[in-house]
Amino acid sequence: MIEPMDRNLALELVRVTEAAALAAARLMGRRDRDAADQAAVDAMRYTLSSMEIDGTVVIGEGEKGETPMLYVGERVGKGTPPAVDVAVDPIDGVTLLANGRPGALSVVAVAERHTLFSTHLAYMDKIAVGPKARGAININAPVQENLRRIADAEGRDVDELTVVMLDRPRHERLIKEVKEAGARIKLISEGDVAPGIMAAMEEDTGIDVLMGIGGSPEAVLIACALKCLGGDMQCRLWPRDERERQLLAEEGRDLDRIFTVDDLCRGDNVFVAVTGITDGELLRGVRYTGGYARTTSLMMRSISGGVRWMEAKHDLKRLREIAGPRYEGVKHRQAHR
Amino acid sequence: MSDGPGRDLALELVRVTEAAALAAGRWMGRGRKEPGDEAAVAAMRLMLATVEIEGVVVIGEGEKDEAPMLFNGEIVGNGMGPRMDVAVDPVEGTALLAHGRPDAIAVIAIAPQGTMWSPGPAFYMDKLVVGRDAREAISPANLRAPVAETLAAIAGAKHRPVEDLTVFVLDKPRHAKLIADVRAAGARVLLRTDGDVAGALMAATPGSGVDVLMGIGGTPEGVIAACAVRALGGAMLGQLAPQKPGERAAVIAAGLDIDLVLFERDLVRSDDVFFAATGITDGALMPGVRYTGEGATTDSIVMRGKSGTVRTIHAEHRLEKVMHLGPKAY
Repeated sequence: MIEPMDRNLALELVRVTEAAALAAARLMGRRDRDAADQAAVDAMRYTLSSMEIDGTVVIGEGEKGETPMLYVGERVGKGTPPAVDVAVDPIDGVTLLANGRPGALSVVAVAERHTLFSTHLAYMDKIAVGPKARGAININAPVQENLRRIADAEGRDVDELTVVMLDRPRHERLIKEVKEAGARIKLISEGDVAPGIMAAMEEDTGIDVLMGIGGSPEAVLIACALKCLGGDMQCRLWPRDERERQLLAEEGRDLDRIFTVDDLCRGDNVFVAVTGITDGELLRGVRYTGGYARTTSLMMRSISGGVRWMEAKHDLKRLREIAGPRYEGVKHRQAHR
Repeated sequence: MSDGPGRDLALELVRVTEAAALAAGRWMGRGRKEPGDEAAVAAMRLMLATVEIEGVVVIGEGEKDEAPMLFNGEIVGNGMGPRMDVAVDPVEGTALLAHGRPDAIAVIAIAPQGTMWSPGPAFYMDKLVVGRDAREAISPANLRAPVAETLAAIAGAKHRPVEDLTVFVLDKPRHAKLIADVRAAGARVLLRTDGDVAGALMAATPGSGVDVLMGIGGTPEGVIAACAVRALGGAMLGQLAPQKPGERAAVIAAGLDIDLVLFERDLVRSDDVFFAATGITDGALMPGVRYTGEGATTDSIVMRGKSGTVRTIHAEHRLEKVMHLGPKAY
């Protein structure tokens, strides 16, 4: 007898990222990051509450007391099994959204309870690649060597690789080394989750490698996606100041410790959903067309390795009947006028 | 605290139609209808067992003694969720699939228990389906009115000439006059040998290339189509139209009213309806199953009546990984 497959939570999670995107997109280009974030958090929290999970937020909007919703440790969902860790980033790229720039998206990952990594340190040094270059990376090796090995694994030359990294002063040396190695560079102002996912995709997304120092929560979200897509990543904690060096000691962690995909996401049953807020290279943003809104999303699951792309047409009037103004970000627009 | 927006079962149903399509797709163009249907039924049933409903098949593969699986009355789902009526057509257009023709699809619809109209012995139904923008243009009289009149009303509601309408009609001898009338009215005709659920879906979907479905097709298919039409906000009229020998007598004996015109809201009496369809062969609605060596891709459309949300889903399945979980049928 073959066991029937269990639920694919990614298909339910997409409603959570869609809701956050629909609410946040109303605040595009209004230069109000807080309002946009609040709108996304409210909508995400609302949709999470009807999911049949016993969820604990492990990556959220902040610590309990700092933030009223989606704080670390908050219980979400209906409280029925399965017990899961929940990692949320209601808006990855909130400044992009506030300025109407491309690439803002909403992302949520779910994995078995106690399987997602969390740290109080804000940053990690990362290197991430797709399935073909699995096993070819070593974060301790020189940049040139990593790129050569990735190019070899993918059967092409280093100068055909595109490396994406955040455009930060701290990356000056990294940029120089990638240039010397001969690879192309793509600098982004914010939001490394989407480029991390694009680097991991087997198809030609235009991004081959993600490198450099970015957020630790984002590293975990990328790891969840890599678990589904079959890519590879190595990370190291990167304390930005003396206080974080102390935190490192308090957490009993080691600067030299290399975190692999399995360290950041130990689960075997991992689900990820992503919805575009502003137009981006991975996903299209929210579009409004007279009473309707269109969203574009991506869903992944580790066990089946299945990737689903979804375009949804939302009837805004009927949504309002069900959910009130939650998907519209209206309250937040007015509150922060 | 809020309970949230409620569950969207359509998102679970898509796995059911994807499974059926993946299994059936292997039988494209092989000339025989039964194996593709059997493969789809088995895969659909396996996946349906994971959906959190206490479901009863009200429109299935046939009566219990003639269908081993997904027969009318069979209990499906994992038994834990809400009580629902379930309507399935694992391969809508078995002949289309057997001959590699377009628009064979796998479909399922569910609605709260007792809300789906029961066809009983009624095999055939005369149907008229339009999209949301022509909803107000049709009334029960249109099932008997001259075709030109009906098409003129629909064209008027859509603010375009009749020449710009495309009408889906099943290419059957019984439709010779209907087809001639549509042509005489000046509209374009899309003729298909089978598959009027796909036709209804197209007629109710804005921008699909089909504006109207007309003609006599299956009654069970009419109920499934009504679920989609309702979720899409379109309009559907249906009236029993017995064609088989003895059908009229059986329908009357069962107490069904042959003169009654049913609306989509009569065929499924709840807006809490969920619908999913996955392409098996390439079609106007969506591409069919594509096999890539490492896996397969499917394209689906899913909807929830309550919210009116319509989703299209392109899925990349890795068969090697799916095999560990599911049947070899894929």
